[in-house]
Amino acid sequence: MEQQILNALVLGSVLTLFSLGLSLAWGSLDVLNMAHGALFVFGAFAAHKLVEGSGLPFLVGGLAAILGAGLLAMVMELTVLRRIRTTFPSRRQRELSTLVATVGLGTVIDEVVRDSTKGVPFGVPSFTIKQTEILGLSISNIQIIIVVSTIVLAVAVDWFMRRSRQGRAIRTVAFDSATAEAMGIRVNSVAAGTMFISGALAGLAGLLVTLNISGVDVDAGHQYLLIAFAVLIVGGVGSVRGAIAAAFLIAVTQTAVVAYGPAQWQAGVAFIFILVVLIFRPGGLFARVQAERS
Amino acid sequence: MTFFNFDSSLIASIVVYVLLAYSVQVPLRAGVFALSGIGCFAIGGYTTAILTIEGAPLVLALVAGVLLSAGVSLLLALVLVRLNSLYLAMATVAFVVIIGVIAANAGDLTGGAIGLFAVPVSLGLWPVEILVVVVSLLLVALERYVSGRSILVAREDEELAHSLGINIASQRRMVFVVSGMLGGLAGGCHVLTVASIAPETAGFSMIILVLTMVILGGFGTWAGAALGAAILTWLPLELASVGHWWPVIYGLVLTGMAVYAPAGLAGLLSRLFRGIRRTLLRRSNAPRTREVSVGGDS
Repeated sequence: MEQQILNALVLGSVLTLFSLGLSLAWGSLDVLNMAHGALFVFGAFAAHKLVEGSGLPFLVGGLAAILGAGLLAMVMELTVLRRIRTTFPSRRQRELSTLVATVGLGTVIDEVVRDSTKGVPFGVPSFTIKQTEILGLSISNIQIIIVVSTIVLAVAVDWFMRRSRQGRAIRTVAFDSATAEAMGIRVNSVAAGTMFISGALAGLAGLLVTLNISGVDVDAGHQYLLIAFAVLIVGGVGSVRGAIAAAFLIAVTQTAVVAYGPAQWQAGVAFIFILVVLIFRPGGLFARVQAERS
Repeated sequence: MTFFNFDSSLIASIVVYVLLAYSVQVPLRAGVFALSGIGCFAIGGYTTAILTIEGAPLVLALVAGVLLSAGVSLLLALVLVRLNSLYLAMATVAFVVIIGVIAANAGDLTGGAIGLFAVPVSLGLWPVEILVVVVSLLLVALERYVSGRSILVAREDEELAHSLGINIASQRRMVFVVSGMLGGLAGGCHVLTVASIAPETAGFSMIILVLTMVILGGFGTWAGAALGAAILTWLPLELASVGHWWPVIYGLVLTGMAVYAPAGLAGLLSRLFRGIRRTLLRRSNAPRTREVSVGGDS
């Protein structure tokens, strides 16, 4: 039981990191980034290549992989998403083009990684996992890293979005990008920065997952993307605290299904959450809280 | 004779994919980002395959698949009808993936991860091809003569549509059901032509393939999506040496079209023809005609 709670905590942490990135891009730029799962995979893949292939120290390689995923997302913004945002006048056309383009970009990243790894799961075995006993629980060092870094980053992102100048700029762009532009906010730099943070969070999540379960493959990105959809729908898009709460709610449910229920149906948990929340609270479980805040 | 047979099976798989592409194009044309038709492709396919294996007549199995798809789509529509575009896209992608999960985990009924094969179909390919062509023509007629303008109005301006007395919710439901039936029928026909079905018929790679067909051809016109489906069914067979890099090409095509040619090949072609016509008109010193675009395509 305690071990399952620990598993849920770890899964919820990774989901939080992953979904926060997706939520940032959507909430502020109207970008439903279908390539977010590919960025997750890229983070794990780049660390695998840099540490196992090039023999970089783990910390350097891992950091480079996270920054690389962020840069990749930023390049997507600079080359494709910015063009879509400035070319198409109708909002629906913009959303559709963004959706289609990110599906395309994600596929390209996925297939390059799949080709390079021959479809075999890849990890970073040079990172040694050590188990420690705390209060009768067997906890590994990577699990501690996951939970601690999630707490630090979630608090940091929450603070950044609420209090910092740049965070306020992002929220202004989210509210009304034309007015934001008129107020002197450089929407293009805000967008580039947001996509960098979003991609780096996805890359970090990918790296942490591959360390924790010693190896992910390309399809893991799709699975996490599906769960992140559920997190966004349950938590409400653009709400940092909603996303965190939803991530842990779904993580607990999914862990319970894996541990005590029909484990092969765990992918169904996300879908059930999506359906139930859409039927009863279409704005997300925390919609009212969010409305009061803005 | 063998050449003839090969041709016929290629045509059969093209028409099946045209139908599947239409199941995504119908909602896109109505301004609804619903990809649920791809999930219905698997629903229709599995229903047809299971019932045929159980000994039901082929036509009955096919109809059952279409009806089940329609029913599931209606339920989905009732839940999702209020959602705005991106939520809808997410929820329907999740629907497609979950259909794949169910297919892979339902044990003997669906044949698990391998799927169902050697389905005893004895219909031949021509009836299927004729059926698909007839359905496509019906679809075009349906939009042109029954509900076309009101769908376009609802796509361009919801408030205007409301004020004209168009019931958007019921229109959305209809769009979902039509999309589901097309997907279901495509799935059934797929089983009738290849005698097998696997869980991969509902999943991310299928979404990518069908989206590429619709976007490459252009969802503004019916010919566009059909063109896209035909090209992407035929070309991978012709250029088999490209092998496993096809998904990368799909990805690049999707991205490029989304940015540079949102109206797809059909849009590019019609722009080209208009350009040629204009040049010819100018050369013959005919009085200039003003271009009036109707329908708000592209």
